[in-house]
Amino acid sequence: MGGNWGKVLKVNLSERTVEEEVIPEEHYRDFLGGSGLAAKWFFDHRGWEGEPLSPDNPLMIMNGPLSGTNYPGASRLEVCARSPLTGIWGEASMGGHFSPQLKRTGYDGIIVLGASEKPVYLYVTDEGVEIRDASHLWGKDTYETEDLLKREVGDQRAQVICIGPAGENLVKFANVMNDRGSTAGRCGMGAVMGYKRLKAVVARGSKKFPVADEAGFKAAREKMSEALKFSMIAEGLHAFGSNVHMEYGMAIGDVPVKNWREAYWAEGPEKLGGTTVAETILTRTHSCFACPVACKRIVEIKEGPYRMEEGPGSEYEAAAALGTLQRMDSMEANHKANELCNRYGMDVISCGGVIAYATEAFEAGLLKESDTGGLKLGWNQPDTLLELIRRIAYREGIGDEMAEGVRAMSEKFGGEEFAIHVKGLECPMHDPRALWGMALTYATSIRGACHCADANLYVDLGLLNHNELGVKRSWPYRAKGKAAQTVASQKKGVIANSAVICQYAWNASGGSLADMAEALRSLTGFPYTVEELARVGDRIWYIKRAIGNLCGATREDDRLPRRILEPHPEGVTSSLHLAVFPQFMSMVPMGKIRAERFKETTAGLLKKYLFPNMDKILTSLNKLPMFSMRGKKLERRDPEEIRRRTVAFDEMLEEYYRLRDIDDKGRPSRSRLEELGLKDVADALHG
Amino acid sequence: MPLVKLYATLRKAAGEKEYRSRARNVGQVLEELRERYGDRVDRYLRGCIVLVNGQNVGYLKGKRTKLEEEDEVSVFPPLAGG
Repeated sequence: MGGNWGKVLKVNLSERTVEEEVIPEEHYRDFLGGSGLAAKWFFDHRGWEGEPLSPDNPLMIMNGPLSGTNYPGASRLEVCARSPLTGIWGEASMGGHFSPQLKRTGYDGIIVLGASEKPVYLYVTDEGVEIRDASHLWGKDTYETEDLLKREVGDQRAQVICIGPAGENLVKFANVMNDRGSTAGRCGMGAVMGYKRLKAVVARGSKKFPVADEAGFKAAREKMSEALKFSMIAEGLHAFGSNVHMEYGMAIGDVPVKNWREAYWAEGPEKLGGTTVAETILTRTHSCFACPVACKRIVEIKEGPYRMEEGPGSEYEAAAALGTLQRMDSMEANHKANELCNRYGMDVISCGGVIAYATEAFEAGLLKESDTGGLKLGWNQPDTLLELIRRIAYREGIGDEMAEGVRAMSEKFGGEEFAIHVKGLECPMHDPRALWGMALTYATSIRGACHCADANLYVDLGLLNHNELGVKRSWPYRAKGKAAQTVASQKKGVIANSAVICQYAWNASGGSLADMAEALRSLTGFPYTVEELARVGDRIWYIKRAIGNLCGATREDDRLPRRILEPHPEGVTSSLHLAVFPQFMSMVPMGKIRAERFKETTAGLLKKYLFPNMDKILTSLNKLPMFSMRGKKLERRDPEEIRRRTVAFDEMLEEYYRLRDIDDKGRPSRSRLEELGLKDVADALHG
Repeated sequence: MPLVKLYATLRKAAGEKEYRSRARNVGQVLEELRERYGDRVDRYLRGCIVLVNGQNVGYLKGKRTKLEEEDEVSVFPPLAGG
């Protein structure tokens, strides 16, 4: 077997023991590596029986066969565990430079069990691993920690992953950081490390791992490099970062504004988008290991209240979650907020989501100044945003509640209808009302609302297809074919997170399964074809789904908040400024109405009678002079606009369950699992 | 006259953010872009995304989509991020 070492390091911090565990070769063949292999290990060791913040929850830091190979985009590793935020399978993918160093120490990953009494860090080299005291680092932010550790081990080329104060304080969405700007962001993996009092892992290695077919792999690598050289997607990412998406995204209604309430904010991209950053505060680009795309932004804000030293700037998710979602128009404050999240070690998406929820809850009177310690929350308040980020990281006052995430907060304070999450994971910055595929993606992604677990975003944007799998792409605003598209997208997504490769690089090169099969075949020696790789993708998805079920997730959890399935209550994306629907909705203070039954009934009536007849209503209204909808935007698409922003979610989800063979409890069927060689998983689920 | 706005790497290649167009339909806008900026924008126009007043012309009449005086035409090279 090439590409992998065939073993992982197992560290028990309660017992202070270290051992090597050999992983059977067929596990690599059937689950690739990365989060696939982690899921297999987690299942085999009944990881779901441990509570997320307990010594029994295994923290798995895993490479894949591509890690450390110089294959373009192979810079990533996966951090996995049972998530303290959602309670189900958690995984987070991280770029940067740590992955190759870990690979070169001679291990495919590290599995951390138990919990230390005092803060420690792991130092992994060619010689093995030491558990070292980290008391002097506890309390330091991630930037300082990384600098200090490199000095301490006496090697600037050593790479560090670490947590900040947020992880130490068990903030449920604390992340793990490397190289200041690379993050295993989601699901609270930083809190798992914090619970174990594992401040950091330092890796420095020099070993060379075998490659099954050197010439074949070299050819595969060169093919990928060539594809990226001529990719316009790669060019856009290089020029403007992932925030290249902001302008186009806003134009199609994909960028959430004001806690997903507002349809369109014309000034948003000018203030916060990647083009503006490139023309103002950008100092240089930066790349992850072995990546020619170099999408990372380095910025500097030299003066003013949001001054920051040269360092990583906002990616798209941060520009939106800590920008448009807060209806905040200060670019400087946005990048400062992003820097704080990096330093404290917190996921920008969840952080932005819980702050936007809290702001709306304050507006609706569900949160009061007595709850917020006198802080008046409101939209477009940069200083309040920065203060809330700090309070969350240190669990001060209202920050202690917010650190639990939007699901827990809304269960306590109310306003569940505007707590935008799936399975407890706050939704990323892509609106299902613009790209219906994201509705299914959010509902059925293994870790909760996630935009990286599959390729649906790129497919719905028209940039990728699934022709290799014989699946037709479905239109962004059509339910037909969306379920089959999502299943195909998920196969690719799990392969990316198990092989492990950056989805930007892979997608920018065309996202070819044939190319990936060729690369993995020559690297590992396993006889992968497109069909076999697709089967591996399915196998990994199903084992992760089953783990979610074993952790307690049911079919009821595959739901989206109604707000992101129906037309926006505020603002318009067309000339609907005089249309009945938005006026009606803005007149009804739904947030202030506590009578759940009234809200349910009203929403039901709107859905049943108003939305399906909106085109007739608007067409009739349009004939009346006072309601004439001549505006800047096209008139003819208005009824179509309403139709488009009403996602046919139930229909798509039912079809998805049928294709995936999911039962009424949300579990994959026994027969489907056994077909994929997962009989043990079927037995665990079905008895 | 319709306002044509350029984005991302297309804007960078053109060296201009926006201009007022004489075109009557989307196809004419694309020809106009080639004439106005020459070869340096050519590759960005292949597979480009065109919105008219925020509406993808793929849902209208593609290159034949007619333009009115106050329309805003946004042209994006193939891009993805997010």
